Amino acid sequence: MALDPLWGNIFRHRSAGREAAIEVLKGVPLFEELTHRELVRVERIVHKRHYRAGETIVRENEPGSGMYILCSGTVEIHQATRDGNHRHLATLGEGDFFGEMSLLDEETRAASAVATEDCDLLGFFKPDLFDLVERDPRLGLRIVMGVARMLSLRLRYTNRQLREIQDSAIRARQTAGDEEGAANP
Amino acid sequence: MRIKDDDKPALSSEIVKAFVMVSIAAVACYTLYSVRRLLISFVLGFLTAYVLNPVVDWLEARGTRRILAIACVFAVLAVGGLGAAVLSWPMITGQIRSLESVSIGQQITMVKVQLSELDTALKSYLPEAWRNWSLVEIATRKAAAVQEDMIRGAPGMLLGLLSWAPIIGLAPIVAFFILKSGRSVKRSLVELAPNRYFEPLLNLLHKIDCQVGSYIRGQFTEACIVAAMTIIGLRIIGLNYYIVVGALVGAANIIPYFGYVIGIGVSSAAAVLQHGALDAAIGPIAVLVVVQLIDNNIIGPVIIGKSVSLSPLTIMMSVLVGGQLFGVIGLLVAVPVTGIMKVVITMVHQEMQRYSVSHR
Repeated sequence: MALDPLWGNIFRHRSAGREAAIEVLKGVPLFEELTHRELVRVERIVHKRHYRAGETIVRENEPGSGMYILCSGTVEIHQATRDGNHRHLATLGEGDFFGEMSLLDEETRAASAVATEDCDLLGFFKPDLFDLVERDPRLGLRIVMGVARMLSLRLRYTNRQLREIQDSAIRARQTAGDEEGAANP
Repeated sequence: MRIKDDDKPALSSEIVKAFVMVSIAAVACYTLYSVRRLLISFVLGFLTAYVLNPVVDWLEARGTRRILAIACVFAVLAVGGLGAAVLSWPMITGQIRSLESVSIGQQITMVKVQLSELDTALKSYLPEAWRNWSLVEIATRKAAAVQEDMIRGAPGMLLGLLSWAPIIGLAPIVAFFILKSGRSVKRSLVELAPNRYFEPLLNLLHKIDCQVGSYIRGQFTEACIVAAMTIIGLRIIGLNYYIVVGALVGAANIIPYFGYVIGIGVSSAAAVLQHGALDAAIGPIAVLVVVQLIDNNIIGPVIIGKSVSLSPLTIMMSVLVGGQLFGVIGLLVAVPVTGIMKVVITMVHQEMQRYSVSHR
């Protein structure tokens, strides 16, 4: 039933949308330590974008300005290989995020992100972060610390994976050496 | 792959498209030209907003709501301006009264005597055949012509000045709304961009904003420092109208090269009028030379740097166009507006380079 423009609460949809965006932001480690009031401030500066299925959100090797958070839909992350193909890295769903490294540096995007179905995303960009740091230094610093914390966790996880790969390689070499020794006493 | 003929857009549709775009551009230019006086309000408001923005941001960073921060800044400026006017009013009226009591006729006679001596000295170097002119006569004829023009043009000039008052009065209101809603308007415009160009546009606007803001604030700071140094220098040499002349020199400093000449002219004329002697101009000229040396070698490079330097030809063209379109105010804002356009074009070019390199 259509809402009466005079009596119906036509604003419920807008505020519901805003609350949904705040709920999505809460799930991002970057913003997990912010109060509700601070999340409302952040919600005001993020950009709500809609992408159709098949549309490229970010392109590999293009300059990046910020991160994206998925409100709905699915996004695939892939990287070009040397032989011209694409290597699939991850499939992201609701509540997931990508591109946070662009908040801190001027490097190009490490991979491409393509919407596999119609998506709604929240974009949080460097210019808005810098603006927030000037207008509300306390909140800005907390967000910057959140970005640093996220990247630190990714680095530790990468270190752990690298160590496991190195350990596997060492074990494989040892096993190969033992077998060779057994074959040629 | 060869493009088939029926895939190429028809020449007639391309011509129509070009014609429509040129027509739209022409209509836009004509509309802007028609409302050029109103544009001055927006330009002045825009410049004021950029100068005041760091102060408003500083207050907002300390927990003050933005609208309250803007109101505080404007209130301080209004009270400060009113206070300065009230305090300086006795001095200004005193100087006007002293100007009235000074016998202009006596000053002119003393200047005529000096011109006559200069005339005699110059003619002693010239052959006999070249001596049938008189410096005093030439100067008197020119001065009489200028006086007649001024008397005839005075009512028109006064009406002209009065008609500018509402235009200039609108500038603070424009500045207030730019400070309050500028960010949200910029955000709304960026939101309209298609997804493909959204991020580059957001980044570009941010960089332009930072550069333009630095440039405008740098120009304003430099003008204030030059005005302060000139006021102190003219006070030391005992020029009567040192505050007004110093402020004029500071404002004229916005126009590189030519502003310096205007400043020398104004301060020399004030000194000659005060002392009734041509050599009285040496003092103000010396002060302005020292101020310009300090400005060009220390203040300018530190505050503005070389990033937005304009060539003398560009400055001359922009000043001429600004003066022709908008009068005296156009002379003052022409160079900052040209500097801003240079910043915008440079930033757009750099961002396009950045994105085209990434596509290789």
